[in-house]
Amino acid sequence: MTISPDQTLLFEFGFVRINATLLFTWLTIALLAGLARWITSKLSTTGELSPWQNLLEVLVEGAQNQIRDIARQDAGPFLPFIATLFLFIAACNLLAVVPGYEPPTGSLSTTTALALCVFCAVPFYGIRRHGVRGFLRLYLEPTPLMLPLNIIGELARTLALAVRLYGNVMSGGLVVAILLLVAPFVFPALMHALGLLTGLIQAYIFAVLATVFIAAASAAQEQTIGHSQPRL
Amino acid sequence: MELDGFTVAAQVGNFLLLLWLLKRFLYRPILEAMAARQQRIAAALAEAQAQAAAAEALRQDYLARQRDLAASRESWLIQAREEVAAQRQTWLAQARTEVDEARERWRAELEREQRDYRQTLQREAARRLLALTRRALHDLANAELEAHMASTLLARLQTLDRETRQTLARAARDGCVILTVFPLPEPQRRVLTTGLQQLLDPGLNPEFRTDPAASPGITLETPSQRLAWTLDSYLDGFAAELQTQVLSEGNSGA
Repeated sequence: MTISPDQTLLFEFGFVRINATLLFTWLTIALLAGLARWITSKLSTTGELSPWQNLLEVLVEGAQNQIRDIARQDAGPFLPFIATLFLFIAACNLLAVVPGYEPPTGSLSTTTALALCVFCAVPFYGIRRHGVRGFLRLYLEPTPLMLPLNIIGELARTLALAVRLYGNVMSGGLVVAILLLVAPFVFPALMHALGLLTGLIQAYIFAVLATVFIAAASAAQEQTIGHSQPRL
Repeated sequence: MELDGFTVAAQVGNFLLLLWLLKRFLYRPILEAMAARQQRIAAALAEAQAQAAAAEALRQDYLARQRDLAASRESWLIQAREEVAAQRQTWLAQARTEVDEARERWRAELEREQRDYRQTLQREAARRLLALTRRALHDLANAELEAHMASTLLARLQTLDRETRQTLARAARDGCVILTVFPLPEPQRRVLTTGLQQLLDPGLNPEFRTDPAASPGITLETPSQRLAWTLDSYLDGFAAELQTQVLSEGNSGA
């Protein structure tokens, strides 16, 4: 029994190690991109909408509204990044019910990679909005003495993001595997159903936290005028 | 729990690849489609609002026209009523005039008919009276009456002017005839002869004749003159006078 799909090695050439995590990631990417391409290839701007287009528009508009509600600013710049995070994590978690599929989000490497992306996205959007100096000034708020704590906070929340997602997904799969040994009937199915719910919740939490971090960096300059910067 | 550096790097790359793919194949088309639909809906709404505004303007225009029409209708009705009343008065006056004229014509016609009838009646009465008088006088006429009439003839000769008498006297020299219905008695003949000789010519010797078919009376005839006093001539004169009187009354009545 393997805890992480990283341990399932499929191909190795030097430092290039193709494992199950990468394989299922590519499969998920291909599935998502293929579905998006298939649906958007016959978009309609007039007349009746196809159910798939309707579903996609609901998802995109829902993501826009969620980002706007959380970030309190225009969702346009953040939408692709946040929505991709959510769709990828949700797709990986939901596909976990498919026999033989090992969710890439159950790999600490994947969650770390996603957390690193968020870690890089925060300064990216912050600098894009306020410039380098404006963004770096955030770490000196409210006093320069807080600089070490702010840096530790940045690293800690990235770590927390990675470990939280990895732990939840990995533990869900592990619990199902253990239950299969103890009680092979009913309970694994129930745990799988619960895993669907927790998988969506984890995707939502990850996306929301990413939104909060990015939005905090983007809106920090306005908030430092009258309010203390929120820290999560 | 292990962390593979290559897998982490590959997953970062994979995520960025997925981000690019979804941005290209999902977000952009979907957002563009939504924006296009929103624009179309906004355009449709704007068009609908414009049409609603146009419809409202048309409605207001229609209402204004309806109000104007109602006002015009009232004024037209008032004007039409006035015109009808005026026309009615005109026609009534015209009808009254025509009725008055017809009545006048009828009255004039009636009066004319009455006058004609009266004239006819008067003529008929006069004619019958004359006929009756003529017949009565014819029935009553005799030699004695003609003798009296000879006196009357002499009286008439005396009333003639001098020139007429001279004309009559010249005519009587060529022959003079006294014509009666009944033979005059001898004394009456002498009185007549004496009277004529005194009034016309002392050498006059009239011839006395009788004609039973003639009108009762006495007639003095010369070749060129004739002086008569008969019942018929008297009645003819009376009839002429009566006719003149009847006509003058009829004309004065008209």
